[in-house]
This record gives sequence, structure tokens and C-alpha cells, in this order.
Amino acid sequence: MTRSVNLAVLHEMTDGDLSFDRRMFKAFLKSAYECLATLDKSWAKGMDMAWYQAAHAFKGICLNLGAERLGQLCKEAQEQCTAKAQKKKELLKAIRSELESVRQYLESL
Amino acid sequence: MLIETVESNAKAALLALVKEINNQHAAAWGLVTIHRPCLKNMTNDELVLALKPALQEVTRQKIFFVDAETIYVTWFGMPRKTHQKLSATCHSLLRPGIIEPSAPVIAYLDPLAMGDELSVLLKGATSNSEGEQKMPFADLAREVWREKSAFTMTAKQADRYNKMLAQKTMRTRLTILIVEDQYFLRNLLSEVLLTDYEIDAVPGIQEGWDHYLEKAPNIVFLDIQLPDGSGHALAKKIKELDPSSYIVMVTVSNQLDDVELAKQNHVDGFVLKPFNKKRISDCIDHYLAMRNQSAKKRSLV
Repeated sequence: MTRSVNLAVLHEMTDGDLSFDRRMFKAFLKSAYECLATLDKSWAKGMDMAWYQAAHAFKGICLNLGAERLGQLCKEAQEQCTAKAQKKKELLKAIRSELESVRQYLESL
Repeated sequence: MLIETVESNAKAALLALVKEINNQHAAAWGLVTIHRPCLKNMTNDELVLALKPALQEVTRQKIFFVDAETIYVTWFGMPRKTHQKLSATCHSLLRPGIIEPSAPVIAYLDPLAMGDELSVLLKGATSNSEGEQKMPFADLAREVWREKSAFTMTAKQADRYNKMLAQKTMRTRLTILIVEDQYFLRNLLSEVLLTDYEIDAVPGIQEGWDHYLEKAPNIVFLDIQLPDGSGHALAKKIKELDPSSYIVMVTVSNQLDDVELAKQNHVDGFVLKPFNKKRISDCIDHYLAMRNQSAKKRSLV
């Protein structure tokens, strides 16, 4: 199985400076959990627009970290903004699980 | 069935909409926004004709043509079913090549989800499924239009801005403003640029505007989708204030509608996420080259 994060993407900005990387990992996780909370809330309330915007923002941060699988899931969530609640619930579950893998990977570095 | 259409600006549309909802006292009503740049080129009449079958069964409806980008459709009776029909219709009208629109093609406007003026109005004006308490219309209007102050400039701000503007071209250390709502990206970009430039980083449109007036920065890196509005609106306002401002849109989207709007607003650059150091420094180099060129021209004159 491939790694959850392709760090080469982040290193385009940080030049591989480990302390810079670590600060950015923390910043990423803070942003990611905020996006996840918004997705959760918008799913619970059936808010399509808020769901779309949170998925779009989430995808943006994943792209810059190099969290490609997670970014792909967010892209799917964005495309499915008007899908039924059950479909969104499944997507949320997948996103939560992949974010956990990303977190574990980042914390192992 | 006659479909009532109104060509309107956002403010008038919102007021009419709330009045309509208040007058109807309907238990079931629906409201969607349609993002027009996603649809193929059609006149308003053609669009109404295309939407008509989806609105056959509702008791009353109204279509607001707000601006080049936005259409509101509101109706009373069987909202869910109507939303599905409208959604299918809109997706059948997509402009060729639209893969990932910068906004949903069609979406429920959710009073609680959005921080914009429409949501504030609807939140108070209706007693729909969210069970929000009703607020008198006049109070609502006051609450909404207080928010309209986003792009104003006080005399004090104008004075300060003019002083900063006079210094702008002479700065040896460039001032850069980053407007980005995501903490991670704001920090990433700030930290990369901090060594060589004076950096201000803010999360929204209002703070972006206030900081622009405060510092008259040399360069603005501006996200498009922000919680309190569109980066395009801020870009437009800054360019109106200072046509020589240098604005780079930073976004995940490279959709035609975003590129078109950026062009219309005369922004100077477009950077796609994931961004890298090279692309960012290319933008700064471009700005410096332009500044040197205009300094040379001035000295020749």
C-alpha cells in the first residue's frame, strides 16, 4: 500500500526542513479537523452548500500537503454535494479513516 | 403556468424574496441558487423555458436573475421533489467542458450554513423546517444591511491609505498580503515568504480589505473561495481603488468561470494549488519587473 502522504509536494515549499515540516503537519491537522467538523455538521443538517465548500477547502489543503488519497476523497465529496445523506455518510466515514492514516503517518515522522 | 421572473440586483432580490416568503406563510417552500457560469449560454427566456417543466407542480414560484453568476429560484409546495427536478434540469444544461465547477451548479440555499445576507434574512424571516424564530422584517433588513459595510472606507482609513500608497513604489522590503481561510495554507505561504518580505496574512474578505487599506501592500495573494464571500469581489474592489495593485489569485480551481472572472477583474496572476516556491517567486519577480519598467518610464518622462 502506498504512503498516505507524498511529502515531495510539501518539500517543494519547505525544502525538506524537518522543523518547518513539523510545524506544517500541526497546521495541516488543525485545518483538516476543522474541515471535517464542518462536513459533519453540514451532513447532519443536510446543508449542500456548506458541504461543498468544506470539501473544496479540505481538498485544497490535502493537495498542498501531498495527502493524495485524502484529497481524492474530498474531491469526490465535493462532486457529491447534492447526493443522498447515506452516500455522504459513507464518504465521511472514508474521509475520517483516511485522515486518521494521515495523522498517524505524520506523527511517525 | 406563468413563471414569474425578476431581473434584479442581489439586494432587491433578497428583499423581494423575504417579503414573498413572509407573505406566503407556507409550511413548505424551497430555495436554490443556480451558478450560471456552469450552464451553457442561454438567454433568460430560454432558461425559464428550460426550467418550466421542473416547476410544473408547485403552487407558486419566482426566479430572480441576480447577476451574471447567480440565479435564485424559490417556490412553495413539495420542495424536495422540485429540487431534484431542478437539479436534473440544470445538469442537463451544463456548458461543455465543465468538470469541476467552482461552485455547485445548483444548491439549496441554507439559511444556517451561509454567512451571507440572504441567509441572515431567511434565518429570521421564515419558520421552515429549521424552526427558526421569526424576526420582524424591519429588524432583519437592518441586520442585513449593517453587513453591507464590508467594502467601505472611513476618512481616517482613506488618509492612512493615501500615505501608504505614496510609499508603496519606494519600499525596499516588499509588503505582501495573503488572504486565505485555511490556517495551514496561510501559515505555509507566510513562513516561506517571511524571510524576505513583510507579510500580513488574514482569513477573510473583510480583514483583507481592511489590511489593504492599512498597508497598501505591493502584492496580494488571494484565495477565491472564502467564508465571507468570493475573492473575486475583493479583487474587483481593490482594482477599482488602485488599478496598479498586483493581485494573484490562489485556488484549487482552474475552471473557465474563475479564470474569466479573474480576467474581467484584471488580476495579474493565477496560481493553482498545490503551489510551490518557484511559482510564487515567479509572481514576485514578475511584479518587480513591472515595477522597474514603470519606474524607468517615469524617469524618462
